[in-house]
Amino acid sequence: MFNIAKATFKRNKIIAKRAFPWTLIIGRIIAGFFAILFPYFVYTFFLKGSISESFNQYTNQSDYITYITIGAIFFILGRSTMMEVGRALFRELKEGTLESVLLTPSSRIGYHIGCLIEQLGRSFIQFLTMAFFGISFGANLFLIISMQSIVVIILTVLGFFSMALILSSIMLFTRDAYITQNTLFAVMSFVTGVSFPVEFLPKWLQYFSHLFPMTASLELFRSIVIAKQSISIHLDLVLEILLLSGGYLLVAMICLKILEKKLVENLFG
Amino acid sequence: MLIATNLSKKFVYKESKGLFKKKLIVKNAVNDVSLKIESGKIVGLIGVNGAGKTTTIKMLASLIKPTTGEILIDNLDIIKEHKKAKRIINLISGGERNIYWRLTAQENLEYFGALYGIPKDVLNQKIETILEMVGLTESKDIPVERYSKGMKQRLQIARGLINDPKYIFLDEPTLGLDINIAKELRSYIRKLADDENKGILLTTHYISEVEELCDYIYIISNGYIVAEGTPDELKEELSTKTQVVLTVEVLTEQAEVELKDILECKAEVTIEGENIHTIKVISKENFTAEIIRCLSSHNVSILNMKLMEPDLEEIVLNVLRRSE
Amino acid sequence: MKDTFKIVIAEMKKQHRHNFHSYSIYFSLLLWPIIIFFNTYYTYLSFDLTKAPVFSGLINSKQSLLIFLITGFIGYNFFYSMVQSAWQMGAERQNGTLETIILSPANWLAVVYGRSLGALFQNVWMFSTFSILIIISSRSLEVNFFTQIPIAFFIFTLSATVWGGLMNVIFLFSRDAAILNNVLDDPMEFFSGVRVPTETFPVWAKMISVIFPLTHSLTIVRGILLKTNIAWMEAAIKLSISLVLLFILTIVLLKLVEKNIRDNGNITFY
Repeated sequence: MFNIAKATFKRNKIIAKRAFPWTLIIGRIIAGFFAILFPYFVYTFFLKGSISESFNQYTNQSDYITYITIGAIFFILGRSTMMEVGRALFRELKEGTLESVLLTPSSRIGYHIGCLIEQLGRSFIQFLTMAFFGISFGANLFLIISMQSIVVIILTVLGFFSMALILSSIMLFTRDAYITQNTLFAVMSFVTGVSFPVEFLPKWLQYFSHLFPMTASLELFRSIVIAKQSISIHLDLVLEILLLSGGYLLVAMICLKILEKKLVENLFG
Repeated sequence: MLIATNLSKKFVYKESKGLFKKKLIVKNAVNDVSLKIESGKIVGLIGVNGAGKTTTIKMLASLIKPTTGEILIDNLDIIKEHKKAKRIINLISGGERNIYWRLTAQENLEYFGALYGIPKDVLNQKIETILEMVGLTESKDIPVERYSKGMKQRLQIARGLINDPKYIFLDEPTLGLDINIAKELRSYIRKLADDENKGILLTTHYISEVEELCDYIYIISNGYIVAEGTPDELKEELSTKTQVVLTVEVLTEQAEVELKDILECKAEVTIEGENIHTIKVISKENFTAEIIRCLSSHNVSILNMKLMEPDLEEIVLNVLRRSE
Repeated sequence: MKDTFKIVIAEMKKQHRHNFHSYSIYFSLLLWPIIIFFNTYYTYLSFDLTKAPVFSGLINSKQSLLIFLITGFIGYNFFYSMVQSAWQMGAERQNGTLETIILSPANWLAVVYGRSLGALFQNVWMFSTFSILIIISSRSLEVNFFTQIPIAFFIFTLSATVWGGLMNVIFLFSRDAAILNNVLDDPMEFFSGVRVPTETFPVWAKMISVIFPLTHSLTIVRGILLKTNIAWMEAAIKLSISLVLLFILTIVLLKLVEKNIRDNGNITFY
C-alpha cells in the first residue's frame, strides 16, 4: 500500500511541476477571500458589530471575525482536499488512463493516500493565505498552533479524506464531476457551520449536518482555539469524527470495489 | 473565375519561455501562391501536412487575411470586401466538426441559413432541396449526434451549399470515411461541378481522389506551389519512369545482347526466368516500339506485354522530394 | 437591420434547442443559487437586525432582508448566466462551429447579443420563479406589485444582455478564460451589493462597485420593490452611462477580435 502511495505521490508531483494548476489555486484563494470578506463587511461596515443574542448564546460569546475566518479556512481546505483526492480516479477515467490503473493490482487506498499527500503542500499555501486574510481582517488566530489544534487538524484531514473517497465513488458512478462536487460543496458550506452556528438551522437540517465530519471538526476546533477549552471535554466530538470517517472509508471501499468491477466490464467489454 | 495572385501569409505568434519571457516566432505558412478556379471545374490542391493547404484555403474562404497578395472573384476584391465575398463562397471541412450535434439536420441548416440572412420561405425550400440532394431527407429530424460519420459529412456538404455559393472549398472532405461512402461523396462533388456549375477547390490526402476528380492540380510544398497542371500534363512533364513488362518464349542470346545494346544507358533492363523469360524495362521515355521491333526481328514470340502508366502518386512524391 | 434581427432570433433559437436538454443548468442556476441564498440569509441571523435601519434604510426586518437578498440573488443570477453563456463559447470554438459562424457574413454583434438573450430566456426563468415565490410569501400583495415585477425584469434583462455581449466577446479572445471567470464571478457578486448594501461600503469599495452595471440595476430594482427613498433617478443615469460604456467597449473589442482572427486565424484548436 505504501509503495503505491509513494508511486502515485511521485507521479502527481511530476504532473503538478510541469503544469502547475495556477488558475485553480488562484480561484480557490479568491473564493476564500470573499468568503471572509462578506461577513467582515456586514460586521464592520454595515451592522457595525451588532451581533445577535442567539449568536452569542450558541457560540459562547465568540469573537465573530475569528469565528468566520476559521469556518472559511476549513471550508476552503476541505473543498480543495476533497476535490483533488476525490477527482483523481475520475480524471483518470476522463483522460483514458483509468484502464491502466485498474489493470494493476494496486491498493486503491494507497493510490488515494498518495494523492492526498501530494496536494498537502498546496493546501498549506492556501491555509497560510487564508490565515493571512483572516488576521488582516482582525481575526485572533495566534492560538491556532498547539498540540491540541494539530490533533484536531489531523482528525479533520481524516474526515476530508473519507468524504473524498465517497465523492470519488459518486463521480465514477454518475460519470460527472462538475455537478456532483459543486452540489456537495454548496450543501457542505451551508449546513456544517462554516459561517453561522448550526443551531440557526431547522432541526432536521441540524441532524443532517452531522452526516458531515466537518460539522464536528469545526465545533471542536473553535472550542479549542477561540474558547480555549481542552480537547478532553469534547471527546464526544472526537468520537463522532472517528466513527463517521471510519464508516465512510468502509462504505467507500466497498463502493469502489463494486464500481471497479462495473467499470472494467464497460472499459474492456 | 476566382483568381488568387501571389498570396503569402506570415503568422506571428508568441511562444512563452518561462513565466515572463516571450519569444516572437514568425512562420511563413504560404509563399507567393497563385491559383485559378473556374466555374464548373474542380481544382486540386495537394501536399503533405503542414504544406500550407489549409492556410491557403482559409485565405480563399476569407477566414484569414493574406499578408500580401490579391484574391479576385469575378472582379470582386474579396480581401477588402470580405463580407460580400462570404455570400458567394463556402468552405466544407472533413470530419465531424463544424455542426451542432445536439441539433437536428433541419435545425442546423435553419440556423446557418439565418446567418446568411436568407428569407424564411426561401430557406425552407432550399433546405428541402439540399437535404434531398445529400440524401438526408428521412433523417432530418434526428439529432446529429445519432448520425453515422458519413451522414455527418453529408450534412456538412448540405451546410456548405446553404448559401448557394459559386465557389466551394473542400478541405479533405473524405478524411476518415469508409471507401464506399467516400466514393458516393466524390460523385456528389463531381455533380456539383458538372450540374451546378460550381467552381471547386479540393484538398485531399488521397491521390486517387485527385486523379478521379480534378481538372487541374496544384502541388504545394513548404508554402510554395512547386508544380501545377492537368493530371495528364503533370504525368507527361514530371513522370520519371515508364515500365514495360514482357513475357517471352525462348529468348535467344543474340536477341538479349541486342536488346541490351539498344537500351544501354537509356533504361534499366532486368531479365528473369529460364524457358519463359520476363523482361522488365524501366525508363524515362517509352521504348516499347524499339523493344518489339528488336524482339520480332529475332523471332522471339511475345506472350504477354504490360505497359505501366506513370503513377500520379509517384509523381507527386517525386515532386515533393525534389522540392525539399 | 432586418438581417440583424433575424440573426438574433436564430441564435436564441439555437441556444434553446442546444441547451434545453442539458440538466446541468438546473443545478448551476437553480439549486446552487437557492442553497447559497439560504446560506446568506442564515449568515445574517448572526446579527442584530433591529439595529439595521440606522445604517441602511433598505433593511429593517427579516422580511425586508429576504427581499433585499432575493433581489440581489436574482440580479446576480441574470448576470451569472451571462458568464455561463460566454463560457460555452469555448465549446463552440472546439467543435469548430465558431469557425462556421465566422465563415458566414453574419454581423458578429448580432450573434453576440443573440447569445446573451438566448441564455437569459433559457436560464433565468427557474430561479426567477423561485424568487417571485419568495417575494410573494414575504410581502403582502398589492396592486402595484404586478407593475413592479415586469419593470424589475426589464431592467435586469436589458443590463444583463449588454453585460453578456461583453462577456461573449472577451471569451472570443482567449481560450483560457478561466482566470477571467475567477476575477469576474466572486468580485462582481460581492461588490455589486448582492448580499451587502453598497451604501454602507467604505469609499474604496464603493469605487469598485460603480464599475459593475449590476450595482445600479440592483439599486433601482430594490428601490422599486422595497419602496425606499433611494435616489433611483441617479441610479438610472449611472446605469445608462455604464451600459453605454459597456456597449462601446463591446464594439471596440469585437473589432479587435475580428481583426485578430482574420490576421492569425487561430479560432480552432485541434
